[in-house]
Amino acid sequence: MSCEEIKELLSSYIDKELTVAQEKLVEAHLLDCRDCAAALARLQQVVGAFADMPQLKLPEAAADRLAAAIDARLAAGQETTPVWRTPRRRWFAHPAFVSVAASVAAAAIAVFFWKAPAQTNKSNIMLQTPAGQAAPEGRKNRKPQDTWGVSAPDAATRKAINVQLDQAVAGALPGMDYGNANKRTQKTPADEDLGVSDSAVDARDMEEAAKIAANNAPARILNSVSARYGGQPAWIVLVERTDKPGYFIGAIVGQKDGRVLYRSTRPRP
Amino acid sequence: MADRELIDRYLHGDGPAFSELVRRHQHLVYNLCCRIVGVPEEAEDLTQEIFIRLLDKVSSWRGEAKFTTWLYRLALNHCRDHLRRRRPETVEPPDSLADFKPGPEQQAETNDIRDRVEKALAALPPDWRTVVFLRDVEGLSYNEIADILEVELGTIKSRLARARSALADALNPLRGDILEQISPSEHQRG
Repeated sequence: MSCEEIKELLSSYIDKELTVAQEKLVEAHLLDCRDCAAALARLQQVVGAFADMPQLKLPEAAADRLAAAIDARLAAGQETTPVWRTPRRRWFAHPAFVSVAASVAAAAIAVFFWKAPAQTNKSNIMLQTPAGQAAPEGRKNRKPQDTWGVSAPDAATRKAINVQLDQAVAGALPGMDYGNANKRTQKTPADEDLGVSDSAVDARDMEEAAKIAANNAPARILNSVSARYGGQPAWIVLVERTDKPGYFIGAIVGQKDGRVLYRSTRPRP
Repeated sequence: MADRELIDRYLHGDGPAFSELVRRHQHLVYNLCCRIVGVPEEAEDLTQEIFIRLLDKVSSWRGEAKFTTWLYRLALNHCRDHLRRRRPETVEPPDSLADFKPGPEQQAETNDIRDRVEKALAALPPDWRTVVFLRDVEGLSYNEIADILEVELGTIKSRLARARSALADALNPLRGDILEQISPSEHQRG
């Protein structure tokens, strides 16, 4: 056999994938041909270089996003219990309030869901604290505020922001039913009680979630809603990339077993 | 619990069983995506897309092939579609490799040869890169690779031979060293 023909077999020879006859031919040739033996050595070196190549691990933040996306899809497939529910204040759930609450719920909840202004400073800072406030220094001031120290904008702006939030979350988590802007104002208050005070999630945690969601790109929190995720109190945060206006990301921050968890997914373009 | 059992449970309404399946195989899929598309951020997105797709498609797994073989095929097809859609000017595999090196400590141990081989691998045509990845990185048999790629065994052999040869050529500067290190008679004894 010619050197060219032998060289074509060397790769399979290394893997012991030749027939016995082919293998004998190759070995006989190699005894006499320094050039083909060197070619074999080079191939073996290539193969050997891959042998201990480490497996690349999915980064933790990406693994969290993956888990959230899967959870969302799984939840969307189970019509009985949507994972993300709209929260209610504790006193709303009291029977004495239910009948009254039903009549005022629409207005009350609409305000409750308003968290942060859309027209906050658009400067290119890394991550703007809601309403320009500094994040709490210590863990003492952990509680997120229902409203971040600003007066709610007019109804039209408020609606626009809620629509953005819905779109960001829906885009990131297809099939997720946590209630859209209109539905939210229509729900009765009796279904779920989320005591916001139960949540150990604070504004800093939301910022951290936003940072992770934006992959450390400049971004700001536009809005948030409190929710339940996996049976635990959580916040859904709407993040906008300040370097890419209109690029929204839905993030979720919650806690489990005393640990604060962040999850986010990137909206599809 | 075996993959098969997790899938059975999921198909009978046990959502967390699917999440467990994802956790079990997420690094395998991510590693594959990284090696094939060469850009870690894209690999993250692709990993997510692949598992979302798996949710819908897993019911069509008949169990005649190993689950991982089937998963490799699903993932590779997705990567292939992605590469087809991607505009050529956005592709910079050799440079982007630096982004998904192991940690600094491991990187320090990475020898010169592997560095060169990794870069050369990223520069190969996708079909060649795929077969080298499956054989030399993942250690799959020729038969498994043929199953995954749904091509003839002979095609695997020739593709692998050409790819390895191209990689060896990319390491050409080392040729002199090798010639000094290994003579034909030494090889025969080994």
